[in-house]
Amino acid sequence: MTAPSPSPSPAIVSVTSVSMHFGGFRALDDVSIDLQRGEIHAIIGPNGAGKSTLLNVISGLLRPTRGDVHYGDQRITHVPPHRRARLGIARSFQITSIFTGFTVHQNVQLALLAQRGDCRHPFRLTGERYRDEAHELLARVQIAGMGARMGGELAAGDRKRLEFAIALAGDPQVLLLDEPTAGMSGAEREIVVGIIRSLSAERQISVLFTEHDIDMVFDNAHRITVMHQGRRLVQGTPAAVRSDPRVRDVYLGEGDDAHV
Amino acid sequence: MTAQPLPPLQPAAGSAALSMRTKTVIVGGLIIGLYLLPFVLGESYLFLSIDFLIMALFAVSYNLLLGQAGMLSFGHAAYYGLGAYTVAILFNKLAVPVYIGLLASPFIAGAIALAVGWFAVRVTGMYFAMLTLAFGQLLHTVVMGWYGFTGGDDGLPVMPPDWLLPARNYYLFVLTVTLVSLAALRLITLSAFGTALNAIRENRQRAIFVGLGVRNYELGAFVIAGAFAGIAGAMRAPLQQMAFPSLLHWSQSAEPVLMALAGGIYTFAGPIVGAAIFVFTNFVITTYSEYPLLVFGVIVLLVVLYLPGGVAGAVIAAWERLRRRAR
Repeated sequence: MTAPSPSPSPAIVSVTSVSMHFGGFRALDDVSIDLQRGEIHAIIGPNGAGKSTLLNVISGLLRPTRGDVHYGDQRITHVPPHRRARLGIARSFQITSIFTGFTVHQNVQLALLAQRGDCRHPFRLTGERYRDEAHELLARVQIAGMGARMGGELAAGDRKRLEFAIALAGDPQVLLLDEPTAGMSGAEREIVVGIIRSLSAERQISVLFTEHDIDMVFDNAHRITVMHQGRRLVQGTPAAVRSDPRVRDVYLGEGDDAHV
Repeated sequence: MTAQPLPPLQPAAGSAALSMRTKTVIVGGLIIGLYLLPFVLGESYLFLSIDFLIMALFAVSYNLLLGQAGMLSFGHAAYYGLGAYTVAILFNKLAVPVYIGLLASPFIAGAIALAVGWFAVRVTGMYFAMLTLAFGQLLHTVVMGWYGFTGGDDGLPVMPPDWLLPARNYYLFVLTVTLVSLAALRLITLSAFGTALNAIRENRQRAIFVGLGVRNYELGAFVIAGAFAGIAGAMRAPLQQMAFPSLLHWSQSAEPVLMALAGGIYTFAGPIVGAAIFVFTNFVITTYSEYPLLVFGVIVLLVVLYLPGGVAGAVIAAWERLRRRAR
């Protein structure tokens, strides 16, 4: 089943002619992509296609060799990553990134403190600040009952949900997700997919994600960008991408671990 | 589900293992005991206690970096020594009394820490350690060589006013300054800023992507730690009636690292316990051996190997086990 495409709207993130070189290696080669408000947009491609690099350029972890990144009207190519996070671009990592030595609740509390500028104050006590908001965010990803547990004790799916709650603390406009369902059981996958869909549908959050599970991509993405060797190969609706012969060549021709 | 009470946010991460009431009783009792000490102890033990208080503040200021932010600085003595020289230079050049000099010390030490930290926080881990070590030695060399201003390797004499000369009075003065400083540091560790430092230690990348400019936070921690080390140093100079360049030396920087590790870096009280062990071992050992730091080093080695949470961490864990068994 294919999700209905939202009506066309101005891009919230646009990447223009971005290249990223590491020494002589071109991880990204003149890539342009736009993310529209409220859409779920997947980036697929074989290993080494540049998917993660692209997310890193948008989130600010990498500064591109050439090209520009815009967030709405604002050029953010040189804005440091923590400022982009404050502007409303949240991200998750392929290896789920949480504070394992904090409780689940403290993870979200810290995110709220950071996003609201409390952390600059050396005498503003942390205490129970934002306790209710933290609880609400955990409830939104359905792990409210785990608040007192340590982040490091959680199973893979719960960790990923906690990472979502951390990301949502900043009330983001854009969510960048690097392989959000990697290493999860089928049941865990469904929960995570459900969260992604509801964020897009109910909160108009734009989601850009990379994914190896092709069925998950075609079932959920409004649009898909296919990358290959650092270049953008095809961009379009799931139906258009599925029928594109170049996509079949890339996947079937190279016998990669992704399966169409 | 909705009727479930919210789980409390705090109980986690070691430090909250004791109840609030137990803590208040212990800390209150200790403070009263410390204020009564000069009416019980003889003069030589009072000097030992002053030494302990200064070292405790030095170690706790350092632990804001190591324990809270995960920053391994090897040059913390530079700010300790700068505090001592602030008092000494103000006294010698401008005839400023030591208690006024003490008020200036955190600002001078903090300002130099800001200048050094501005460079040092650009790198992390071992590079940060080496950079802080190099800057520390640079400051040591400047103090050592600038005879006209610092007295060079002769040191600079400091004379406390008459009312601070008796051991009892100076003890009460140091105790009050130390307690106020420790209270301020405690608030900082429990603040949103302190929580952010914990987060940076836990997961630097995640800290960045929740919106923390981690370098600024590390710089802030470096300046605050340097400022409080300056206060500790400022109390040291009048005690010895002298400021020496060796106060800035890298071997002096080893002491807060070892004290923090011995007592435990993940509790606020840890470095204070470490300072007590350090000062006490020094006192006992110096009568038998010329190398007290060697003996203390062995103690730290054993603690790190067998009590990774430090002595304070081990005591809290043992207390927890006892309480659970009592139930």
